[in-house]
Amino acid sequence: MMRFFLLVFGLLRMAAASCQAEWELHPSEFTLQGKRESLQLIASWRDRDRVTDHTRGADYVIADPGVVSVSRGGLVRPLSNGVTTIQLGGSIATVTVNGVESPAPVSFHHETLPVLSRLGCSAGSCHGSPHGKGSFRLSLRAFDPGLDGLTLVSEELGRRTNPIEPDKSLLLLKPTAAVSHEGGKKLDKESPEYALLRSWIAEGAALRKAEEITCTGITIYPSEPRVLHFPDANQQFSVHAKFSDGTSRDVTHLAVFESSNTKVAEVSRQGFVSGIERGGVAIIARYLEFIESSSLTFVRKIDGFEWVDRKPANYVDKHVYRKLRQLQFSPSAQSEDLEFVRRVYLDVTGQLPSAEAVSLFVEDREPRKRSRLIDTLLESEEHASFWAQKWGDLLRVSKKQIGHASVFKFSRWLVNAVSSNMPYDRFAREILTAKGSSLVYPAANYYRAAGNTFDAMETSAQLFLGSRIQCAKCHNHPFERWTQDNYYGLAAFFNRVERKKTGKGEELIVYSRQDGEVSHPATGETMKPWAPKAGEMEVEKSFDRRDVFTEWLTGEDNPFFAQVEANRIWAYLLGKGIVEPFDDFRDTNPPSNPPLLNALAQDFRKSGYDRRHLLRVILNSNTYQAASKTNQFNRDDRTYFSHYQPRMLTAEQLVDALGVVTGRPMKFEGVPPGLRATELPAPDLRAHNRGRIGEVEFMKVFGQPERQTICECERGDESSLGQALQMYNGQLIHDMITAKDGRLHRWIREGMNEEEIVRKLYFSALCRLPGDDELALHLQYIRGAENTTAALEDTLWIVLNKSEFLFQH
Amino acid sequence: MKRAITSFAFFFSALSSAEVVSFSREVAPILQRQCVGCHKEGKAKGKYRLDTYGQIRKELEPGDLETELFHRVTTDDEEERMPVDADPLGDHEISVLRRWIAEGAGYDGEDPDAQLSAIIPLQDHPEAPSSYPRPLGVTAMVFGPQGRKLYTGGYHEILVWNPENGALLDRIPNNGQRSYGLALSPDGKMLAAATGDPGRAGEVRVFDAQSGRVLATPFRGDDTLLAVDFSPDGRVLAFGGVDGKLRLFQAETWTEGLAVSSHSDWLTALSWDREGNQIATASRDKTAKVYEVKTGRRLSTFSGHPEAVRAIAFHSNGKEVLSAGDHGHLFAWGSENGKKIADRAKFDNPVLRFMAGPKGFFATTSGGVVAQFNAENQKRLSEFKVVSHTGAEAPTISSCACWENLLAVGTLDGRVLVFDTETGKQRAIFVAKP
Repeated sequence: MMRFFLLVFGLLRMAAASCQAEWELHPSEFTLQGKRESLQLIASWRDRDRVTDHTRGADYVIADPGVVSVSRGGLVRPLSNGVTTIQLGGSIATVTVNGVESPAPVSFHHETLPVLSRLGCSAGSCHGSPHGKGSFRLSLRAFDPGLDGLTLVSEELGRRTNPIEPDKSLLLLKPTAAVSHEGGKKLDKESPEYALLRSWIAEGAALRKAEEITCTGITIYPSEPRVLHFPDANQQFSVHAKFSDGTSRDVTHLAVFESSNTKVAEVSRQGFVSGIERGGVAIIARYLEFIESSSLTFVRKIDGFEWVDRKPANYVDKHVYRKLRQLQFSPSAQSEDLEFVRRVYLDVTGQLPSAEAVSLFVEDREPRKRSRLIDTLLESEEHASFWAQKWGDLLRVSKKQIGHASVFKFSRWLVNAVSSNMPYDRFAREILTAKGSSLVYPAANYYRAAGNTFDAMETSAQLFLGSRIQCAKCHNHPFERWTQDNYYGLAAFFNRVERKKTGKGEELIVYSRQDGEVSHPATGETMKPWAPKAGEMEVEKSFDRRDVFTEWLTGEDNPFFAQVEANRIWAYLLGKGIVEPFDDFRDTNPPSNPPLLNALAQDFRKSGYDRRHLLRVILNSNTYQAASKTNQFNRDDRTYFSHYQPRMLTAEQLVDALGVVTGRPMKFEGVPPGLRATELPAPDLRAHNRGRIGEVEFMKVFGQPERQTICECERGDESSLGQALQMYNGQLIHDMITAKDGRLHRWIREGMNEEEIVRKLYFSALCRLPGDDELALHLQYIRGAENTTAALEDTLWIVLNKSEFLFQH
Repeated sequence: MKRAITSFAFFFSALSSAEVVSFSREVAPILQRQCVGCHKEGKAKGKYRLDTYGQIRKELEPGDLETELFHRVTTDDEEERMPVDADPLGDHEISVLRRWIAEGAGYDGEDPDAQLSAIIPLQDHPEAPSSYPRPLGVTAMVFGPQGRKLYTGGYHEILVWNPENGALLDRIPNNGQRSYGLALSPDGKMLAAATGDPGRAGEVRVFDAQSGRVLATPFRGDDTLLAVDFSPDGRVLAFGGVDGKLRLFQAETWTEGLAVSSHSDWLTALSWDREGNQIATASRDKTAKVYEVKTGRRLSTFSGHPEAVRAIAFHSNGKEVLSAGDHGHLFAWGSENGKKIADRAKFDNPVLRFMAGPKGFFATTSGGVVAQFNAENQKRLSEFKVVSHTGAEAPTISSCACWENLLAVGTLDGRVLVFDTETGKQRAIFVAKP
C-alpha cells in the first residue's frame, strides 16, 4: 500500500511539475563484482533550480528482481549474476552483477582497515592515539597498514583473532561490547561491518599486499554544491573508488563521513546527512588516504522574514547579501558617522581618532566623505606601522627569534613594504627567496626564525597556503589531504637553503646550495619537490628550488595564495575570516561564503596583488560599514557578516588609546622615546632585569603575542580575570589617571568646569558625547564628593572601564 | 477469571520464593560479564569495584533497590546507565539482580573475597572441533617423558604428537580455549596448562599426563594465564598472566601459597632457579623481578628494558638472570640487586621465548629466529631461521620445548618444527592441526 502510494505520489509530482522536472538516478550504470559489493543509489528530484534527495523511500522498480535487491535506503545488493535495470520515474540505472559464485577474499588493505577506521577504532582519541588504548594500538586512521597487520594478527600471540570460531575473536567481542569495552559498543552483530571483519578472520586473517591492486582516487556524489530546504533537509552521499586495474567500486559502506559543522548538519555512518539548522557545511568522505568533500547549504523559512532590497556598495555586498537572503538573515542598518569614524580609525591605523578629526568628519557634508577618509587613512604612517606589526607577529619578529638589531631592520622593512604598498606576490617572493646578508636584505631574517628545512616549509605553508601541515610530518594528516609524501615533497623546496653566521654583529648569510635531498622517513626514498595540483616537479640543478616554489605559489594554478591573504585581510577588518580560523584552510573547514572569498581573491589577483586596493574595497562596502546593533532577523548570526561584530581592542590598540585619553602615553624601553604601542618592532625589547622578573606586563595580559610561533592564535583574544584586574586597579591605569601631567589634571588646573571635562572625556574615549542621563549621574557624583579632583579621577576610571571604550564596534 | 489470575500469581510467587537466587550461579556470571571489566582491582573506574562479593556488598543494602548499583543498570538516562555505551542489561538479568537484592543479597560461596570468576561454578569446556577449519597458532608446548611425546596447546584441548613424524597420538579434552604455557611435573606425571579465552576468562588446569584426566583446576581468573611451571622438586606450581600476579600453589593440596602482585601489567614469563628458592618474572610493564619463594619477598627489579619483557631465565648459578622482550636486547643482570651485568645480544625482532636446553638455552623471536646460547658464558653458539611456507614474512615463533638434543618450536601460523641441536638438522615439520 505504501509502495503504491509512493508511486502515485511520484507520478503526481512528475505530472505537476513543469516538463523540466525529473527524477535522476545516480549512477546510471554500474557493475557489482562478487557478493560482498554493494551500490548506493542516489535518487534526486530535479525541479527547475531546486534539487531534493529522495534516496530513502523512493519507489525503485527492479526489472529482474532475481539479480539484485534494493533496500529502502537505496542500497543495491547482488543476488545472482546477470543484468537488470532499476527504474525510478523516467530515470533508469543499469546494474550488472558478476562473480557472485566466487567472491574475492576480503582485502586487508581495502576493506578490513577502512572498516576499522569507519568504526572509529583507529581514531586519534581511541586506539589510534600514539600509545593506543588498553595496550592495543593502531596507526592513526590506518596510515601504517603493515604495522596494523602485525598488531591485529601476531601481537600478543594472536590474541585478537580466533581462526577456529571467528565470532569469539576479541576483535569482534570488544566492539560489540560482548566483552566489556571502555570505548563502548561500536559495532552491531547484524551490521555489514561485522560481517566483513568476521569473513576476514574466517578466511585466515590474511595480510596479502604484494600483488594487490592499488586505489588511485575517490569521487563523492553529489559533488556539486546543493541547497536543501527544510523540511527536505536530507541528503544521501555515495563514494566510489577507482583502482589501478581500471575497475571502480562503490565504497560508501567502507568510507568515513564527517560533517564540518555538526550544529548545522549531522552525517550518519552510512553517509546520510540530516540538516539541523540553517547554514553551510562541508561533508567530507575519506577512504584510505583519499579525501573528497562536497558542500551543502541548509535553508529554513523564517516566520515574518522578508528580504528588503538594498543597493550593494560593491561586489562584497552583492555576495554577502546573496548569502543573507538565501539563509534569511537581514543585514543591520548602516553605522552612524560617530560609530564609523572610531571603527575605521582603529582598524586602519590602530589609533582612536582625535576629537578634532571626529568633529571635522561629522560636520563634513560631502556625501563621499567616508571613502575619502578611508583613502586618507590608508596613506597614513600609522596605517603602515600598525599593519606591518601584524606581519611582524606572523614572521616571528622578536629579539629571541632573530636578534636585537635584526628586529629593527626587519620591522623597518615591513613598514616600508606596507607604506609603499608592495604587491603581495613581490612581498612573498622577497621573503621566500631571500638571499645574501641579513644586514643588507632584512627579509633574509625569515630563514633565521625558520631555522631548518622543516620549519621553513611548515612556516611557508601556513603563511602563504593557510595550511597547518605539521601533522603530516609523522603520519598522513588526519583532517585533510596532506599525506606524509606531500610533506616531504614540499620540504624538498627548502632543503638546500643554507644559513651562515659571519660573526659580524648579527649578520646572517642566506643562500642556496645546488645539492641536498630530502628522504622519506619511512621508505628512505629521495623526494622530488612537490606542490599541490602541480605534482612532482623536475628542477634543473642550477636553479634555486625556492624560485620554482615561489613561481608556483604566486602563479595562476594555485588558488590558495590569493585566497589566504584576502581572507586574512578580511578577518583583520571584520573580526572573523570567511574561513575561520583564518589561517587554517582545509576541506573540513570550508569558507562560510565561497563566492565572496573567490571574488575577493580574484579581484586581489587582478589588481596585481594590491593589498591597499583590497582594503579599500572591503572598507567601502556596506558590509564593513554596517552597524554593530543587530535586528530581529540577524541576532543569531555570527558567521555570515550581517552586522559588525564588536571585538575587544588589541593590547597595542588599547595601550595607545589609554595614552590618548589620559594624555599620559605608556613609555617603552629599548626603543626611541615617543614610540606608540602600535609601532613597537618587537614585544621583547625590554632589557633583561632580574629584579623585575614576575612583574605583570600589561600588554601580555591583553594578549600581545610573544612572536615565538607563526600561528595567528598566539595573539590571545580571550577576555580574562587578569585583564579585569588590570583595568580595575592595575598600576598602569592608576598612574595614568592620577598623573599630574596628564590631561585630566591639566584641565583641572586650567579651571575647566566639570561638565566640560566629562564631555571631553566621553568624546575622546568613546567618540560621542554623554547622554543627558549619563551626564547628570556623573555631575551628581562629582558635585556631591568631598574631593572633586578624586571624583574626577573616578570619572575617568569609569569611562576607561566601559565596554564601549574597551571594544571597537 | 480474576480469581484465576490471583491464584496464578500466588502460585508463581510461591514457586519463585522457593528458589532463592544463587549468587555464584546466577548473579556472579552477570556481573562478571557486564561490569567486572571496568570495575576490578587495578582498574576501578569511578573508584568502584565489583569483582568480589565483599566489594559488591559494600555498594549494597540488602532489600534496598534504590542503591547506586541497581539504579545505574536500570535507569533510562543513557548518560548514567551502565554498562557505558553498550546495550542495557536484559530483562532476565535485571530480574535476577532485583530478586537477589530483595532476598537479602546473600552469598552462597565460601570466601567473600574470592574473585567472581573463581566462584562461578566450574563447567566443562566445549568439545574441540574434530577437524580444525584453519591452523591455530602453537602458543604452548612441552615434551613428555623421554622426549617421546610432544604436547601442544590446541583449541579447548591439548594435542599429543609423535615428535619424530608429527603423528597425532592423542587429544586431551576439556581444556581452556587456548594454552599459553604448558609444564610437565619433574616426575612426568602431571601436565599443567596456563590457558584462557582472551578477554573473557583464564584458568590453570592440571591433567594426568598419561590418561588426560583433569586432576585439578587450581585457579580461575577473568583473562588469560600466560606462564606456568613446576618447582624443581615438583611440590609447587607457579603461574601468572594478564592480572600481573605471580601465584604459587601447593601441588599436592592445590591450595594457594602466595599471590604476589607487583607488576603493573601482564606477567608474561617466569623462571625458577635451580634450587627452587627464587622465581624470576617478566612483565609487559617493562620490568623483570626476582622473588623469594618462601616469603614472597621481592629481591630485585630490573628496569633496563625500554619495552615489554617477554622471556626470562635464571642462570644455573642462581645469581644471574637473563631477560629479553620487544626491544630485542638480551640482558644479563644480578638477581640480588637488579643491576645490569651485560647486554648479551641484540635481535631485530621481539624475543618471545627462552628455553633451557642441556648445553645452554635458546631464544626465539617473532622474526623466525632461534638462537642457541652457551649456558655458562652466554655466548651465542648457533642460529637458525624458520621460514614461511608461503614465502611471506618469517613466522613468529610462539612456543618452544627441549628434550636432550631435541628442540621443538611452534609458530603462530600453526606449524611445529623439530630440530636436532647437535647437527642442526630439521627432524620433522608438521601443521599442528587435527
